[in-house]
Amino acid sequence: MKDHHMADDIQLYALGVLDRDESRAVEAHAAGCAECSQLLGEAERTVAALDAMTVTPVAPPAALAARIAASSRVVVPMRSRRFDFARGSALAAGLAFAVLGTGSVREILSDRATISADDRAFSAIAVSHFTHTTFTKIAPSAPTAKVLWGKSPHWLYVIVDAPQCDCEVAGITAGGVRDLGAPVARGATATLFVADAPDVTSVELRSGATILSSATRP
Amino acid sequence: MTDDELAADFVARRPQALEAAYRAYAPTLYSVARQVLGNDSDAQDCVHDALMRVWGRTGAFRPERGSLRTFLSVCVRNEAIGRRREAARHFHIEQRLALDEPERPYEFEVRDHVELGRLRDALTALPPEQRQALELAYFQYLSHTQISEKLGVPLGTIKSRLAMGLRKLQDAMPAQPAGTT
Repeated sequence: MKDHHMADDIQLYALGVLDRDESRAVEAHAAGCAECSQLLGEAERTVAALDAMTVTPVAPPAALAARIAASSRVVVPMRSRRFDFARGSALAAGLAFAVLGTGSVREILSDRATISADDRAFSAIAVSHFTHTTFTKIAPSAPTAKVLWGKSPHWLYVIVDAPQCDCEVAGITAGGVRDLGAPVARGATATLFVADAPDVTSVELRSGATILSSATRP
Repeated sequence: MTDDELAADFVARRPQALEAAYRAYAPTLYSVARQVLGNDSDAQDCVHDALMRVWGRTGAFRPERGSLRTFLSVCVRNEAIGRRREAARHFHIEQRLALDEPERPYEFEVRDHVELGRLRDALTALPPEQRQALELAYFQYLSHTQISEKLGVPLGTIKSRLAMGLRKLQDAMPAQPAGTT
């Protein structure tokens, strides 16, 4: 017997044999369909029973609870900070436009700021050891991104493979979430250099309250 | 806090509901991820990202789904399987997985769980082709396409075998007690 709207996909989803796109389709349908949601729950209960028989119990590290707690509390709406920053930049650009009388002041200011940050990043990279990790995508729309982790001093440098990623970087620490700022467009990429981040154990790319992707310090 | 209360808070998206659910079910969620991925670092990222993805989706968990613990466990397991498949595309990571992963028998090895006796019997009673497909899916984390290629059987047939096999196991499961979430 086939199951309601999703036929065999209910069992295939519970078993984890679907590809990501197929899984997303099942999740989307189940979110809006009570009957399929119930059928899915029954299939999942069987897989969970198999897990109970076969999975070796392992104690989770305490740090993971703190990390999840920090990530789940998006207390500060970053969108509002972005608004303030944008308004400040516009004011500065407007003033400079009036004084200098040039039509590309905003771009020049932005470029100078980026060059300065990149200069500091390149200098840090040149004189210190570092490792790097790739961001793991949580949202399908997340841009490809990487973070370099300075070992001493503990700087970090985020590189997003999209000039307009509309995102900000949050640093996860033992004490909570720290807003590290927004990557700034630089050619085909956007970058963010944080000079002092010894307490940051992982970073997340966020768009408003949505976590796009995350990366953990090795 | 009871499972029902955790589920109700989760559905209502109350602040700290995700954190409370994680603390309640952490050993289950982490063990599942660790089993699939074979190392602690990847397991931590997997559990974190799976929970954040669920938390970011409106309506991801509905009361009709049943148990919040089971729902989260399968979400983590699917995330882990996706990562494992992704990692297997990169040779050096595949090597690392092979090194980290302890050898274990490639077949269902049922432990002494009295309440799951019927499930054990149902597993034994499955036709060989359904059991084989289920074992490849459950223990080797292969996709339906990979199972089809490995066995040289059409994809549609593999899907049917997997679905039918799991349904038979479902039928053998004791009914979920009313009110259990």
